[in-house]
Amino acid sequence: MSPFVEGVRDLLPGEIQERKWIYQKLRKIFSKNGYQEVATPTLESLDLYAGMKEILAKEEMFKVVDERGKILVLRPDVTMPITRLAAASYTKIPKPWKFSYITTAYQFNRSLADHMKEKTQAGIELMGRDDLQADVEVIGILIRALQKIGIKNPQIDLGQAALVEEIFLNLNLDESTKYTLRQLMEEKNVEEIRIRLQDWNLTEDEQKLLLEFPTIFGEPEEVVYNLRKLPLTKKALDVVDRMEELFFYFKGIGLAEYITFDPMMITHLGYYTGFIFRAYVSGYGEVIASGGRYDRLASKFGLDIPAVGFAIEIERLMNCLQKFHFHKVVKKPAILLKVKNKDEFVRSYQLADYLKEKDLVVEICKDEEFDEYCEYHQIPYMGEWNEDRFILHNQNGYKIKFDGDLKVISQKCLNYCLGGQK
Amino acid sequence: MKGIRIALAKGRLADKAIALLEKAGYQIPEDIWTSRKLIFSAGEGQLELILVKTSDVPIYVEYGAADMGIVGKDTLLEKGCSLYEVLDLKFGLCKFVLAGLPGRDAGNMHRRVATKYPNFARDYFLRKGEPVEIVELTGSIELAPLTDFAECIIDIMESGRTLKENGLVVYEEICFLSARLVVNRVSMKTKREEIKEIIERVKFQIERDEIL
Repeated sequence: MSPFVEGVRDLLPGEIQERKWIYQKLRKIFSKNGYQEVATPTLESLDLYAGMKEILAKEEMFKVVDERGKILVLRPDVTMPITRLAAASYTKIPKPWKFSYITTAYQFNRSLADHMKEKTQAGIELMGRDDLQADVEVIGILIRALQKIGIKNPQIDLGQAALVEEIFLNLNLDESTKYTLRQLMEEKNVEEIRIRLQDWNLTEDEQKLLLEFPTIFGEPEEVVYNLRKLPLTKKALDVVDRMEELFFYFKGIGLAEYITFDPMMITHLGYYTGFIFRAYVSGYGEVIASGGRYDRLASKFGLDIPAVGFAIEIERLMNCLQKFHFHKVVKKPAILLKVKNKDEFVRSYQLADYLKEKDLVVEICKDEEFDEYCEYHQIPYMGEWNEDRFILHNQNGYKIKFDGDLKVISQKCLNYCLGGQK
Repeated sequence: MKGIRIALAKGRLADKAIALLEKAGYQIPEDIWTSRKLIFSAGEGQLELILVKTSDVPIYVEYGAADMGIVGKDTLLEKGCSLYEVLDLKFGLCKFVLAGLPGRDAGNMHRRVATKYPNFARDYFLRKGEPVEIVELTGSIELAPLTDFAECIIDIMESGRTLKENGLVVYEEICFLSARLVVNRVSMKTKREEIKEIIERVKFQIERDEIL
């Protein structure tokens, strides 16, 4: 028997502390923008995802059976439950609706690089707006959020699900060929497309389009310029106009340097209908956040409401931060009080109460365990009693004595510790 | 200028890949042919070449431990990694074949298939709609039908000599294979200029070789 499960893991104090710091920053920026945090249950009905194989294949979800034999799943994504929540509780509330969340999602993925079964995601969903300015708002929040955490130069790569859809709609190919072609184009496998094209009955314009489209990506203005040279339909060109307009906004608000375009970006989450995007960090090989517009998802709940959102992959973000030593966690000042007898314990307990009131971290420790404990946890200040006198040591061996009643001692301690912080 | 790390599949493929890079104008360290080192700096520091086991190349590239990789299409099909596959390098040419003893192909019996490529084989028979038992072996696949251990094999075939000398015949040529240049999905975006230059130089060289 092995008590370990592959693909899930424990979080130890050091990591929790870092996560708390990240969560705090994210919550702050989400709420500053008017997004309200919600939470949905870990268990959802399989029915919620029924007929939605574009979200996730059934075999990639964790299933459990409840006491009545109903099949439930461990929440495999967050957007779907939040859409359900909105449909259930928000229909009478004025739009737009702005949600944020930090939660876990569960799935098993065949991809090698995605072997974790439990993932933490933090993100926002903006529902009830279908305009470009809403897209700009959401992407802007993502950039700022990543920057707050210490990623100074995130790269947001933007694609357009509607553009790819329009191109494929007009091709005279059967569905399975279209599927293969879509994969090849997504992999930018132009050579293979060139070979396969010979077997397909396509016009010269279409062939040119299929060969050149996957190679157009990168700097937004250049992408737009090159897309316009392709034989695109009027509808597809309208989408290109929207891409240009979007970039115009990013230039206006000073975020242009973080944006690149890749029109051939597609995601396995098939519910996206407009702009889709991924966030990268130079030198880190995995996608740390992704999102997009999903205007038709809510129709499953009889609700006609456009929406856009993103999710940050917390585990990947943390790997990335660690790789580049991006941030430091600020420790609160802490004191360890040494007690040698009953009387000292009582006095220490009361003193600790005063100090904790002032937001200091205070622990009481028995004499015999004291040194090891203090050293391991790197507690900066140690306190002990010498008769009625209280003696405070710092890590450099510097000592200071305090007299008076407990309240006075606690005040002196506090001044000293906080002063020492500066 | 951001340095680009390229993972090469150790062995014959790496030799050809290194020769290709050299022809494309990248300076190659002398000791790469003799040394036991696994990391080499090339192209005046523009490139870092790492030598890894063939089946590990797509893994290094998918995780971003290498920005690019040169590896056979057979390995890519087997591993199913999420990568950009940007160039057919036109060397390491071979085919995936279904083979076995002569006259034993047809029939409605349940087949056992021996292969070094279990994932590819599973997908292949799934597409065909034939339920089979797949057994993964690590070498000398031709032995499996000869010892009656399996009815057929799925393997790569270059000249067909090994099959022939062991009295096996090809039932079906499944697809053509060759070495490919693959790129990590994020590096393609974050180191775009550098990667584009490498792709273009290599592509130019391949096209020139084809004409000659």
